Amino acid sequence: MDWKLALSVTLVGISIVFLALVCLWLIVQGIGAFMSRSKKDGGEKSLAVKPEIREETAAEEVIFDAGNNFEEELVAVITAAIAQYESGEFRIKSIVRKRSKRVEKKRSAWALEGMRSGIENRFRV
Amino acid sequence: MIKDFIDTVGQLLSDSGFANFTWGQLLMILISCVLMYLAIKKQYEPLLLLPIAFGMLLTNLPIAGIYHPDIFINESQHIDWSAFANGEAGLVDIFYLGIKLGIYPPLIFIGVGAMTDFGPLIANPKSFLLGAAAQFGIFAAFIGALLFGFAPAVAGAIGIIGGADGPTAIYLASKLAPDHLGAIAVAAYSYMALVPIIQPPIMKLLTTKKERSIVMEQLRPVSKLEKICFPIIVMILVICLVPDVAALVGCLMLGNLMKESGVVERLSKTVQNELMNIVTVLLGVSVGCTAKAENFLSGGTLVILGMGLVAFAIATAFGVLFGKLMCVITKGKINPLIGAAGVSAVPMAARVVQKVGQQENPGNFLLMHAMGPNVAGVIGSAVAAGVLLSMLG
Repeated sequence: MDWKLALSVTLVGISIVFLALVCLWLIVQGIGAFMSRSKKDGGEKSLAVKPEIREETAAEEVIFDAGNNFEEELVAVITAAIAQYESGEFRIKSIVRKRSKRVEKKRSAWALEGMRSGIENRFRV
Repeated sequence: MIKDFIDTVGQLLSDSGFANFTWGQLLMILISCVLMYLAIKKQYEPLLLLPIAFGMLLTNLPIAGIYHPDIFINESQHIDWSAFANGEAGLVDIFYLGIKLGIYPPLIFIGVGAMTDFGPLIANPKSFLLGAAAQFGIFAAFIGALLFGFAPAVAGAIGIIGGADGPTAIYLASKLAPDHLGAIAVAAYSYMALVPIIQPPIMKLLTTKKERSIVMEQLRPVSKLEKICFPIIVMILVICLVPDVAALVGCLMLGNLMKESGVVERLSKTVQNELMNIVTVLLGVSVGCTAKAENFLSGGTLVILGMGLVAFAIATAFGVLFGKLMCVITKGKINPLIGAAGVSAVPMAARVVQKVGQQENPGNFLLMHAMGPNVAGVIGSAVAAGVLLSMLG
């Protein structure tokens, strides 16, 4: 066996693999740091207009809750299903609903959607 | 008249495949049936193992003449184009051109790129190091294959099995060891399917219960701009460093850019589905057909299978050991198990990490953390393949 060839291929190979991936690590790290810094700067600059945005967000959240009050439950069920899939030993013993909101039963999905778009139009400038 | 009838039937039987079976072909048919069973019943990498096994069955039926290795592997070291002009070439000979000319693996890589999310790697770029550490398996298997007396080029192709990346293994084997392409592809895909069996004992052996229970911090959100810049940066850097894998890395990053840019959704969907599926069928059948009894049934194939297993085990071990080192350096912020995902096998290796981690701590979700080293391993194995190709090709 040609030990010289074996060692040279191994050393060169490992060195180049590490060199390439370390360079990528540093570049990606640098870009990430730059992006988060520019994001922070952008955030500070836009503080003046923040209250206006907040109002709109709050209104949208109310509408969202009225139409999709089962969302939290859905998230809990999907999370539990993923956990169950990933781990054989995980068991769901019970699902406790801690917070519940009443929704008028007579209202159909169409009516809710109409109400939602109506409110949304009123908030539109 | 009856004599003529008997003579004709006798002639037909003696010319048929039944009279021309060899023991080697019968054994290969048995092996292909076992692989088909594993693909269908056990669902071991069925998308590729099934066409490979079927190709293996097809090529070992006597007198079928659908694949002629001498067209591609001959003294002149060039494709014998006259066989195509004369109509001597079979259907699989035409399919096989896609491997010989290095077309299928890059096309598969476009689809792989379009299906890969580099987000976890961008969010935690330290994962690049784990992806690099797991490439030790490739070079360990290379040395092992040299010790068994293989030529350096063939040893390099055997070593790449440790990269746990099917298209890269096929690409390199078609360039460095076309004689052993079938065995190398079967070994690569079989061990990728067996990752959930091979990795956990090594991971548990090299880590303590406390290390396996480490809960990692949630990854930061990655912006769209970062995801768009990533494939371009990787492509420029890797191709400038190792030009021999320009086709593989270029196609991988093209697919990823299509996905992340969000402006060519139709193309992205096509490369993920239709293109990927068509190429998978052609690639699988062609690779399977190279496994003819006369070149597959040899001691060399057993050594290739053995070295492939060694490569996977060493890659996993080095990944975990490097993870332990990073765990010490970061004062316990990194769970060493994620190092095992540095062997490419996407996303199987990351899933194994998640499962082993949850056995110790059911509330621990390591999947996204393991996806970082997992996709870094794909880039790492492509770089390693480029080095082997440039030094041994």
